[in-house]
Parts: sequence; structure tokens; C-alpha cells
Amino acid sequence: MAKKITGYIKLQVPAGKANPAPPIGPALGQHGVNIMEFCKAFNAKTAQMDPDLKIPVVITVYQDRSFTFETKTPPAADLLKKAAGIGKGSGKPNREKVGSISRDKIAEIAKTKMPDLNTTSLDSAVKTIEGTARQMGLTIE
Amino acid sequence: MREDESLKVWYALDVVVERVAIEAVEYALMEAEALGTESNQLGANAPRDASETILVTAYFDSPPARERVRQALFDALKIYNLPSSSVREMNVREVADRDWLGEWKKSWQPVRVGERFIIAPPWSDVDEADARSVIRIEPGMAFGTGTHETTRLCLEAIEKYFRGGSFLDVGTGTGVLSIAAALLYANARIEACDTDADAVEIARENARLNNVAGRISFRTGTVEETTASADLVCANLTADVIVPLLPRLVSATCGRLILSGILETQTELVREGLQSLGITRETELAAKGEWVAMII
Repeated sequence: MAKKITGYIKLQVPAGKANPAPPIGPALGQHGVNIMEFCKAFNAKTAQMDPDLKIPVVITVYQDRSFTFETKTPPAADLLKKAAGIGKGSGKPNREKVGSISRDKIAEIAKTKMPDLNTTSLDSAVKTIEGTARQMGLTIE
Repeated sequence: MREDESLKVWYALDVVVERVAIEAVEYALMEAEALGTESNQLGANAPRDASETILVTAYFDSPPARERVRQALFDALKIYNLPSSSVREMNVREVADRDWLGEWKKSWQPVRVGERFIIAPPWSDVDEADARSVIRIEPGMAFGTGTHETTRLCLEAIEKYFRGGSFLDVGTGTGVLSIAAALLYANARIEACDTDADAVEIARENARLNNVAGRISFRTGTVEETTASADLVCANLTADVIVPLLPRLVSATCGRLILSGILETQTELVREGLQSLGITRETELAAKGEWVAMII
């Protein structure tokens, strides 16, 4: 018998750093989900990731209060900042460039983001990521 | 864990956004130093209208600076090439700190594990007629409430492979595994360690709750080269912690070794570590959900 789903909760939590404080405590608590077990599982799954990355995670809650979760890819802007080694995007991307990024790295990020970009074409994923990179003030080399 | 409960206040910033702007807004809120964000997403069958609005809540431990948030949102929408109208509304509210863990505890019921154990919170009634050993565990700050697959895999392996003698519990958490070993064999020599001093304190407390505190030797730390070997060694950790510890875990084992907390996808990683120590096959590979336990 398929278990009945009672809710989906999406959280964004730094990799490896889940704890019972907000947002996890109130979000999972109201659904009766075992907060610590989620934290353990999330931290196990993200332990090897860069702790500066914020990981979106979608938690499916069932009627018996059991849950499953799926981690998603970090925001494209976060991945671009990491790859280009910059702390912040440019406020004036057309005039002030803050760094550069190679086409290979753009393609790598596009591949990573594909599942969440609502496209099956790598070309269109690359175009989306290139657009985001330019808007952050990154030159593509 | 009750200190300052009445004083602490969190701040929630509710932002109503168009679906298309969720990632941009979540990124912006984290850039504005949010601790994390929450949104209630609809399921796979939900309509995918990009202009449909979604509530994204960001939590802060001090009042969020409106200007900073606005600027972060402005920058993020620009980066993602979205109009500023994708963000519809913004409101800050206070969230009183609650014992979220405590509220979950209220719904915690006894769990039967394997053939011989029931794990129950201290406040719940257990049928006296049940012949199983009752392990009372206070679900506190340390990991391991007995309901997780990784813990259940270990408990099942303990009842199958432990025949008394000595037991070493590496990463004891709540102490559940050591308590189980102590309840099975009154004369067993049991050593439990955890690198987290809080966990060790909670494990000691749980051992007292189960009247086995005098039979388990607890310490803060991990398995060392000097750790006395044991008939059964149990390491319920995570694969990335287990692999570098393998040489010491193997040398501390004179009977069986249980490795747990391993995701199915990480099995090969652990196997490679074992192979480099000359161990080419495990006695048993037990699985529950996406988790496996390897018994060597």
C-alpha cells in the first residue's frame, strides 16, 4: 500500500550543518517529523560537500510521520561564485566585472543544474547559466 | 536543554514570490545572512504556472535589516534576469523559541527492533508481558533514537552476532547499542566512546535510566591504537568517518566488526578501504532503505 503523503517541505540549509534550530525545528516540528533523524541523514549526505554551499532539500512527509528527502542542486549563483572564486556579484554587471569563468566550468555547472532547470537540452542549460554569470559581472572566457 | 527558552526569539521573514523566482529569492535571503529558508512546495502533480505565488520564509537570529534584504533581493532578481514584480510581499514576524524537539518527543512511541528489543522513551508504557528487553532512551541532543535504519541495523546485528564477552561501541550517541549489549549479557565488558562530550553525557544518563551504568565504561574520544580489542566492535558512524578509522577498527576487533551509517551508494568506498587492509569480503551486508550495515 502506498503511504499517504501529507506534505512537502523545502528547506535550504548549509551543507553538513543541519540542527534543530530554525528553519528545521519549526518546519519539521509542525509535521511531527523526527528532527534529529533528519539532521543526521542530511549531514551524512552532505558531509563531503563544501560547507559554504547552501543545499536545497525537499522533504516528503507521510501520514505516519515518516519522511524521505531529496537534496537538490545549490543555487546557480552560488555555484558560479565558488567556481569563479568571488565573494559577491557585481552591482553593475555591464560596467564593472568582478571576475571570469571558463566555458568548461559553465558547462560543468549547467550539467549539475540540469535536473532543476526544467530542460533536457544541455545547450539551453548552458545559455541559462551563461546569462546568470554575465548578470553577476563575470566574463566568460 | 531548557536554559533561556523563554528569552530566545527568532525572526521569520515571509516573502511571497512567483514560482519562477524561488531560487533567486532563496539565494538572496541566504546572501542576507538568513540561517536557512523554508517553503511549502506542492507535489509533482501541482500546476506549474510560473506566475503562481509561493511563500518563502527565511529565519534569522536577529532582526533582519530591511535595506540589506531589499538590496540582496534586487541584486538576485537582476542576476536571474527576473522583474522586481516577481517578489510580491515581505513581512517580518517574531518566532518564539519552542522546544521543537520536545514537541516531537510527545509523539514518540515504543519501537520494536529485531527479535529481542523494544526501544521506548522514558515516559511511555510498555506491555509487561512482552519478553523483549526494553531499552529506555531519552531522545536528546545526541543522535540515535533507535528508530533510524542505521541504529536498527546495528541492533539486529548485535542480537545475531554478540555472544557475550567484550563489546566496543565507537560513536555511541545516545548509548543505545551499548545498553542493548549490556541488557543481553549481564557479564559483558562494554566500552563506549564518542568524540562529542555531550553525547557521552547523554549516553551515561541513558545507561543510568536502564540500570546498566555500572557495566559500561564511557569515554570521550574515538578508537585508538591503544584501545583494548573486543569480541564485537560496532561503529555506527558515517562512511566518511568510518573509512579513515578502518585500520584502527579492524585492529581493535578480535571477533566481528559491524560498520553502519553507510549509504548504499557508499558501500564500495568502504569495501575499497577494507580491501586495502586485506579484507576482501564481508560476512553479511544488511540493508534497510538506502542504508547498509557491513558485518566483517
